[in-house]
Amino acid sequence: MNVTIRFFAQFRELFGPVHELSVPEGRRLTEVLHEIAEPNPDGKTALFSPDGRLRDYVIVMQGSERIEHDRAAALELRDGNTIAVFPPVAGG
Amino acid sequence: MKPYIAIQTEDVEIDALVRAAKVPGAGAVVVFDGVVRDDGIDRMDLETYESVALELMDGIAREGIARFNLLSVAIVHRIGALDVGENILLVVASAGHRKEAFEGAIAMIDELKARVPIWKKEHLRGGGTVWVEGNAEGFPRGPGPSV
Repeated sequence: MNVTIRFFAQFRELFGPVHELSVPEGRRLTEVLHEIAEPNPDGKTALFSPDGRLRDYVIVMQGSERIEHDRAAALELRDGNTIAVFPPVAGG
Repeated sequence: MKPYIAIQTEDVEIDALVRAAKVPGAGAVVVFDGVVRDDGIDRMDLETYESVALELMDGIAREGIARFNLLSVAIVHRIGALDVGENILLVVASAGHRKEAFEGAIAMIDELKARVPIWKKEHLRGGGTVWVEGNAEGFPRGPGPSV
């Protein structure tokens, strides 16, 4: 199945703006994020704490819905999903 | 009443927004014009997750209309490279009386700053760049691209 992970702001600079991936059915969101971050030490440090959990300041959204970190860890991706990952917002 | 919502690179025609806000029944028009402040910077770059930002801005405007009895709302956020003094955000709200217009405008601006996916990167006058700290505890500041 195909999923799209979009990064913004600092995370865009670290990972690039878009990752369009083909992943096995049932793959969990945080597993995919770990795979993206693994070859990128700076990115991995920015995204994950040493125990492998998403850092508190990381915001994950599916569409316009924010996904809390506990849910992100368990979320099984579906074909066509687009997930956005970004730091705290600073508009206005 | 349908709010006017936009994200754009070009400057904002403030007079047109004020004219449009003078709908029947309006006795007060509040204009908030957020501009690039000189915090020792040359300019800033703004980026957004546009589809989601527009949806959230529309929701914030509709909530403001319902909660404060606003008669019209326009929210325009600029993105791209902006110099010191340039307009970043225009919020124009009209109501029958000033209290609703002021309170509604403030509430919508606060919501926008807290929730809408827009980010600013400052270009420091002495060289280097820094991302403006967002709304989350524990988020470290530092020169881009490190976080």
